[in-house]
Amino acid sequence: MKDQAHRSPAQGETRAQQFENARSQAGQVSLSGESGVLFEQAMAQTRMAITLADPNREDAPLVFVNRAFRELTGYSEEEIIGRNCRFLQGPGTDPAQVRKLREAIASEEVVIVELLNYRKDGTPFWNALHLGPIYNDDGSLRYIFGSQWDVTDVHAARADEKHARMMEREISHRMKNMFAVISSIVTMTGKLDGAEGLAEKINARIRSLGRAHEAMLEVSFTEGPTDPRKLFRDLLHPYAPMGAGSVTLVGGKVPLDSNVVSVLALSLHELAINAVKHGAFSVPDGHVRLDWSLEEGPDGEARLGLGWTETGGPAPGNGAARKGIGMTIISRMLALGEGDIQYDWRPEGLHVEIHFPTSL
Amino acid sequence: MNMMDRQTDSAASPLSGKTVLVVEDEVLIAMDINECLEEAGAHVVYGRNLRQGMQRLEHEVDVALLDVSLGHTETCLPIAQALRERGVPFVLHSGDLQRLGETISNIGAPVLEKPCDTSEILQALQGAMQRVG
Repeated sequence: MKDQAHRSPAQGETRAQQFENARSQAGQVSLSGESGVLFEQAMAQTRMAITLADPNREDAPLVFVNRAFRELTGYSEEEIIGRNCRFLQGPGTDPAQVRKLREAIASEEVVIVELLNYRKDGTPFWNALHLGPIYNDDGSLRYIFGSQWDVTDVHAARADEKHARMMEREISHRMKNMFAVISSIVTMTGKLDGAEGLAEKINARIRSLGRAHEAMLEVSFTEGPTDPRKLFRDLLHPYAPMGAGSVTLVGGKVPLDSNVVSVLALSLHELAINAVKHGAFSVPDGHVRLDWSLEEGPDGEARLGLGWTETGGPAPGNGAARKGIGMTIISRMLALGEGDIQYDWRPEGLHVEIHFPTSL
Repeated sequence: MNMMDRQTDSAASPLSGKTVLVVEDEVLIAMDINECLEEAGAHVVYGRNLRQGMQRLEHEVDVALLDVSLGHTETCLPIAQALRERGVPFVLHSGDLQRLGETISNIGAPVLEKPCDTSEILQALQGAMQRVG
């Protein structure tokens, strides 16, 4: 915000010259004689609405208001002077804030409150009101100084933010519900159709998908790279025998898209399930290290590289022989997205490398 | 559905032997759609974003299924225009009818709302081909 009352110094003037000018001007000021004039001029120019109230008179009436105050409130000087400033209050004004003002005035303290006030035409505005005591030379209270600034815009922005947060919670709630309903349908159908085992496999995948999207709910995909740590944690910890202790996550922020989240969720889900059945997550001391980084693909497209390394579990043997449905899903999914996956059944544990575009 | 049914299906399907362009940015959805189309005997050319979709137009395509919103900022509009110029019928597939309503009605093609059954997709593609043929 530019304050027009602040004139910029003439061009070409050096800092030293400015200082010298200011000093000589200050020297010319006879404070006793001219301070009144200066005060008047400064008050007329500033865009901050300023008031003085006299606490020594009945009901502390306003004795001075500047132009900015008249413009802010829409009242003329005659309508203001002599009245207590509570005439700006209205039905929406918070009594607690008013009480705070009253207490501060009584105890001669400086107070800042945000108050819903009303202009002469009835329109409300949010007033950031600062009140503080001004004393005489002898220490007695002379005036109550008030400055007010219209912060309606700030309030609107805050309200928008609050609304956005509320929507976020609502969406999160609905999404969880939706995933739960889908799960129930799958379970019920599976039971009635004598396919409970199949239903559970489907449900486990749906749950992982739900966890992944839940973890990414607060992430705006358009705002650049994000930290996928929470996503990976939420996906892997439910399957890790010692929770966080069984998983090491190594990597920085990467650009992610919502459709990439689904692919990541299902891929990691299958690897985790496989580890639970045959690998590192089948024993208490087993460990999985997941590292990730950004790579450049053959055509210059940004790619995500993931390394999955299991240790401490049983020797995997020939895992290729038992490449199940899960592995098939990952392979097809990644192939379609021009990614790839390589398995290395090392004696100390399975090692998997996955690469795919960060934006599918 | 057993193998016998599938074979009879694909022989009977009007999509059998046709080339179908599928543009869809959710690979999981694409995987499902592509497999169903292939089971119906179609040859699928797939693009997962606008750039790839445009590139796939180098193929002779009989019919296309276009996801309307591609990525954060792009839509299938350029592909739709190119297909229209060539007289290739297409069906739009969108999960965001409310937000994309105007874009969709401007394109003026049959629309399927996500999520929809793959059998509906097959039907819509067949219908689009019949209207042209």
